Amino acid sequence: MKKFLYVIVPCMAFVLMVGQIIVTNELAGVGNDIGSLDSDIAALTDEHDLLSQQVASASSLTSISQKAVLAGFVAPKKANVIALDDSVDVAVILPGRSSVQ
Amino acid sequence: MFRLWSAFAAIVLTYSLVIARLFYWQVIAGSDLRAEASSQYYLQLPLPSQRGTIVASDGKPLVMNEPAFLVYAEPQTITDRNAFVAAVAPLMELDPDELGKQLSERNRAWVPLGHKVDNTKTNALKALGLKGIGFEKEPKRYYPEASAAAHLLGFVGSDEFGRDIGYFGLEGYYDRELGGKDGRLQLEKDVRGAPILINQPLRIEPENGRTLELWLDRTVQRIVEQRLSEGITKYGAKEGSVIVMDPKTGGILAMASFPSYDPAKFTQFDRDLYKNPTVAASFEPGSTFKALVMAASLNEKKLTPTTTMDENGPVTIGEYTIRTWNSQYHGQITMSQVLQYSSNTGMVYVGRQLGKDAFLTYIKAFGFGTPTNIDLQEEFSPEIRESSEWSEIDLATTSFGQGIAVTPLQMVRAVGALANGGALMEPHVVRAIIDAKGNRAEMKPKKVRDVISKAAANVIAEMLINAVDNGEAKWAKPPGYRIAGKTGTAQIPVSGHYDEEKTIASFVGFAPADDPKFVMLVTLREPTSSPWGSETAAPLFFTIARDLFSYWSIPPQ
Repeated sequence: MKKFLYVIVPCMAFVLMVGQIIVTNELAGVGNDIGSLDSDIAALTDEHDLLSQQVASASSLTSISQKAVLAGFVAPKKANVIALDDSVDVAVILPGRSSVQ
Repeated sequence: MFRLWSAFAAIVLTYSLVIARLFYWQVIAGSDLRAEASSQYYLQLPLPSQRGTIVASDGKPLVMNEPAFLVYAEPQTITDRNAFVAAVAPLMELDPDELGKQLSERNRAWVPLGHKVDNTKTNALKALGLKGIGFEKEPKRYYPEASAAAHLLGFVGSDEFGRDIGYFGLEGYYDRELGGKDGRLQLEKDVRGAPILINQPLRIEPENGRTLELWLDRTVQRIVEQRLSEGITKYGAKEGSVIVMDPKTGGILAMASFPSYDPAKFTQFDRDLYKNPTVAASFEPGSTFKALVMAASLNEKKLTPTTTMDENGPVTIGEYTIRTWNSQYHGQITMSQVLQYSSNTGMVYVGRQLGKDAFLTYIKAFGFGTPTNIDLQEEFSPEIRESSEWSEIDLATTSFGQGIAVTPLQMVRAVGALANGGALMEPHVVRAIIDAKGNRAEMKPKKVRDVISKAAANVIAEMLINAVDNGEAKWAKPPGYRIAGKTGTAQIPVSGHYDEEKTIASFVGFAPADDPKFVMLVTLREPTSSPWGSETAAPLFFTIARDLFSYWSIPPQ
């Protein structure tokens, strides 16, 4: 029995030590991964903020109107509204046709 | 016996002193002591929250955050101080001698080089590859629409501790909602102040600020600002402002005043420009006020649109003589014509029919004399004098809009009640508040009270349509549209009397009159091309209205 204990206990201690090293090593790796993910998140957040700003800048009315002027658009001197009375047909079905022409 | 009582008193006194002292340490000084103990045990690093954005009604940002950094130097880790100064000082626009002096101070752990430094400059600094330079995120406000709606938005400055704080407009009013809550990183430290790294640091994440979604339509805002700027130049006015409000909800669709400032560079502008004149400045409304007095008289059934009065000459009250604006008198005229001719003497008649008490009741019911409760920081309200201080001449002049001070917002809201079937709404800029998790809190439109009946509102609307179609400003009106409105030309009170030449020209109205989409007030201060509202503010109103009809695809009626 004594001999058995002398053999088994050191073996178990050795196994546990190895296990501890493996788990610690794993945890260290996981921590590293978490750190890496955190820095990725931070970098992506920064990029998102920067892109949001660029999108807002490009879609601002100030920017759009400047681009419109460069593209040759001009504002009408007077806004014209054309209103159609309900009684005016804008599309008719021709005789012998089934769809609107 | 005396000794017994003395011993008892001494015991009671001693215990009282102990209790008082304990009360002091635990209750009165408790929070300070806890903070002091915490500073002895912990190292704390604040994690600043990100300020919320402000978006227009279409979800496009008017104010957002731009990546920026706090740049600092760590003198202890700098290897070549002279090379560091030579490289950094020109980029950061710092005095090299001063920077060198700060870096050579022994006790300095870090030296701030710049706050809210933009990305371009930060990247240039990083590219230098210097040792001893650090960067911490410190976002700054960015305005995609530049200085648009500056008065409405306000700006972000710093408090006495260097923290961001909103001033004026929405930034000031909603500072707590926009600011969020800073987080912190907490780590135990030893007696020498060095961090104890055994335990994980306690990290309390910051709560980012909330997003404000506005009623403001950025296209309407742009139209208004562009046309107002052109109008001020065209009519040679000193200042000008325009408010466009949805009369049914009280939502502010556009609000502009010039001269204005750029919120991104607010320090470069005169401080007098920071306050929004549409809510923080008052003016005498002049003839635009006639619409409200007439509406009150109609509601009280003292008059009808066909009631006649004899406009046969000036009206004398005590030592004062009241004339029409052009000294022309039309004899027997109806109440509709009183508004059409903008007759001052006619309005004296209307005011008398209404009576002082009812007049004051209606003025207050229309919201004058009290703030409108709009969600803008700097709103104020001119006071209305007590009833006992009103004489006959006060009633007479106020009935045509002189001798009473109002803010432009109060005026547009009151006329909005005429457009909204008599219901006075509380004006609001923010439509919804959205938190960082996307939860949305709607700010529902709030009716304050019914000031006049729906029938009276319909009648006054028709009278105001007639005033536009046949009044002095009919030449500028877009044909085919039913627009209800009224011109105004008020003299400016200077040192107890009215200036003979300087005026505030205005026009207030709503359209389409049968189902109003907007109520708008245009004011121009001291126009030089003409002093009259019908020749300055009214054409500007119609120019903006024409653009709005086109934008909202509103056909002629």
